[in-house]
Amino acid sequence: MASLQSGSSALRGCCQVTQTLKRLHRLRAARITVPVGTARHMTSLSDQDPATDGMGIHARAVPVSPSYFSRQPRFNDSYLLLAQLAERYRKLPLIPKDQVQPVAWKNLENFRQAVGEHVKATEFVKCMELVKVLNQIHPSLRPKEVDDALLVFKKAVQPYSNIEKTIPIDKFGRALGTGRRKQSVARAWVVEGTGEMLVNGKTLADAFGRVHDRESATWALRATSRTDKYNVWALVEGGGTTGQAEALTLAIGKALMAHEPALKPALRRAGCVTRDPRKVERKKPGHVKARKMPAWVKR
Amino acid sequence: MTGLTVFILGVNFHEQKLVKKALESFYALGPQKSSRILAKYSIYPMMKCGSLPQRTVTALTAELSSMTIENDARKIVQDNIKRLRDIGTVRGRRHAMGLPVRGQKTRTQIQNARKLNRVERRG
Amino acid sequence: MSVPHSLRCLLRPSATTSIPQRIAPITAFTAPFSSSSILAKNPTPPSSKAKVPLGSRAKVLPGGHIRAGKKMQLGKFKKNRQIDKSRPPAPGERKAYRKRVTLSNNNALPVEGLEEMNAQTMVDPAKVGRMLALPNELVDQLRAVEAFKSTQTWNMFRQPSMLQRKEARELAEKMQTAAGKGDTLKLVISGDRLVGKSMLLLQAISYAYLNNWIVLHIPEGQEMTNGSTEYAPIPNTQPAQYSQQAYALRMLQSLRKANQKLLLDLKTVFPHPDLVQHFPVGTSLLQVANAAKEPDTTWPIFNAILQELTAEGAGRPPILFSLDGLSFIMKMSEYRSPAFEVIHAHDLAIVRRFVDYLSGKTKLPNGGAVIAATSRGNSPRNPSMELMIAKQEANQGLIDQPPAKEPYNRKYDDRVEAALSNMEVLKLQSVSRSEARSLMEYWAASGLLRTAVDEQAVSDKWILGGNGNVGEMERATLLTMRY
Repeated sequence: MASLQSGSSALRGCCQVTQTLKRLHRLRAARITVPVGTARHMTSLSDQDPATDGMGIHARAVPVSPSYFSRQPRFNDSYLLLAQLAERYRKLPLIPKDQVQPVAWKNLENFRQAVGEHVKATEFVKCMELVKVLNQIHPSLRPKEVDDALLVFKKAVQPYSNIEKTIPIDKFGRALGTGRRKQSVARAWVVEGTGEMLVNGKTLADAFGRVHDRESATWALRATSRTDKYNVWALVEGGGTTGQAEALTLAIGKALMAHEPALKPALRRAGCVTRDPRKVERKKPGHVKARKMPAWVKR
Repeated sequence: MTGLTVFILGVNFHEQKLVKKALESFYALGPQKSSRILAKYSIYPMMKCGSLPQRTVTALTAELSSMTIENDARKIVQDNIKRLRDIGTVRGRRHAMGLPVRGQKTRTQIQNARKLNRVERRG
Repeated sequence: MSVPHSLRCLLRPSATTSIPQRIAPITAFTAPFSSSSILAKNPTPPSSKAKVPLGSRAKVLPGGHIRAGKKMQLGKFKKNRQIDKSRPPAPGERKAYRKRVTLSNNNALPVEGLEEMNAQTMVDPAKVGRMLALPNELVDQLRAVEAFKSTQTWNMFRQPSMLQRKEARELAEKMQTAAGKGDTLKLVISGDRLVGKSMLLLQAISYAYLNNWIVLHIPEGQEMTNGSTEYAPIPNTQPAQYSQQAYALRMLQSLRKANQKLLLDLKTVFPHPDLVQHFPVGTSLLQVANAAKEPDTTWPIFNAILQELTAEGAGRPPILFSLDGLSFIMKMSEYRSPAFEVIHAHDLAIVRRFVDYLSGKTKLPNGGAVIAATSRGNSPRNPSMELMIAKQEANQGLIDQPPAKEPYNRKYDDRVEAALSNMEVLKLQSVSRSEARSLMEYWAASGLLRTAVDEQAVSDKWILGGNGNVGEMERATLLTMRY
């Protein structure tokens, strides 16, 4: 394990900022007097200096944040905090980068939007270096304040923490897959068997008059050459024949993946994994249909 | 191509014409009466004039000549209209003027009345 | 040699003198015969590109391109319609084309090693699931009784052949036992759409012909009842029955054609005094049948033939009386009595005879079979018939529970229920995988299926055809343009 010393270059940069800010703060505190009523977000110095109370002297308010008068106070605050934390916990052991659990960090654009400040790219990059070093602290030893400080830089939605739902195979050996297309919803129970198929209690020929629809309903099985290995019992509702048939493709494909996860790439290539998101576009006011405009009429 | 013709009540019909349609071509002989005639002589609904046996043709001609069709039927209609005209009713007057008789509007759509309504009604 | 020389002087100089190519006139036409020796020797070959009809104003430019002259156009937006000046088809020609049955296709590959159907193969359990070719003689007989239909895919294969299904063997066996015992097999073939009911009937007819039965076949039940053939009340019948002479003549003709040999051997045993022509006892039935030439005189002959065929103890062969499209003869017909009442189909004499045999009211004394196939494509709903078939299926254990009669449905018909109260049902199911496989191998051997026939391909088509519905399999495989 390396120690926090490795991030020293980042720390040095941070120290420079801190010093400038301190100097600046001293200067302002000396010169500026702020009327009490107008400075709600500054702490009045009255509690610190009881001698000035009630003597008609202008109250001297000190901002809560030392970086209040900088251009990016919130960014600077968190930057300072990170620098302090890095300094404080530099002795804690780090784990190698490849073993760190992946986190989706905000990029520059996201961060600027989140804090509402025009953060400079170079500074943000330096800050992120600190963030990543702190994230490398061993999770069991990482203090809570570090976690809190890092939270600002994490994206709200963490795709890496998503856990994929697996379709279970029940005690009868059935896997239930669902699929949707247009307005149709299909549920398919797939079980190992000899290759029979019933849709809504009917054979495929009775359920779909068009041969093309029958072909798309069985596509997941045919694309993987599994027609004679599984039996399918399916329920479909909603929509028309095309929608129902293609909803079945997806449902059977998903249930098939529960039985044989290794088929996923083949099924993806066959187009049995991704739902087709196209739907009928809604009609808009002022239009005849979704996009069609009324004919132009003179007068 | 000229086909053979069948002679029923003085009218020639093409041999490919359905018997039912041939009968309906006479004035005052509609679908009801024609299908009754077909049933009476056991003529099947899809029979064509060409396959009518000669004795059925004769029988049909005899049957038709005993019915009030064509000019006899027209005469009855004309008499009725004439009676209305003679007693001076509105209906008679409307007939004479070639206008709708039964209180329809006359602003538009009176073509049929113009064509048909008259004292010596023909159609 | 002097002749061309002397004739040349009559020609224009330009035609004879050789002139530079640059200014040579371009001749669009060459006369097929020319007296000039040069032109005769080097006739301009008629260019395929530039053929210009006589009298048109088109010019041929060098290079063979045709430039049409300016044409006067009358309507501004006149459509470029091509007027077909050929003769319109004669009456009945289109229908004949539509109804034509083609039984062979020279473009299809001949299938090697196909067994021929015969009396033994039909009942042989080892032949189940094999393709059997129909022998030529049988094909002629089947054609004579119009057992082939234009909707079946005979026209895709070199030779008509059929799959010997499990049910076909069962049916043949039933016919065999019925004939052996002198019983009448009364059977209705039911099943889903396109499952092969008419084909099974065809196989039953084939069995009958191969075993020298007499076959009376009504190819379409609807032709009897939809008001398209002649009918007449039969005198002295109460309630009135109706003869269909034209149809009887048609049946007699097909019987004569298909069972010629058999009819020649059978001799009359009754005197038949009511026939116009006198036939002494011992005349061959063929001779009696041949007497029917006009519809007007057919009816007594038709009755006489049937009387003779069902004569008891005269060494008559078994009879198969079959009909396709059962629901059409189980309803009111399109005909009307002279009193303008609708005639029930069972009052038509030929239908009556069939129905009586089917219900067991009259028996075939020499044994035989009465088989009717239902049809699901274009046939009227017939609640009584459906009810009786379902009841019988339940009796035979094919379905769990028979449907109850709907209390408020007025379309039930007692006569139909009586007619179907005593029959057996053969519910045709879909084919098994092995049967499907041999069928597909036959398709592949005929060059209609391009893929290799393995377990996978069979399974594919079996599912696409609705779990082995033969007609649907054919539709998905042969009648789509993809394979």
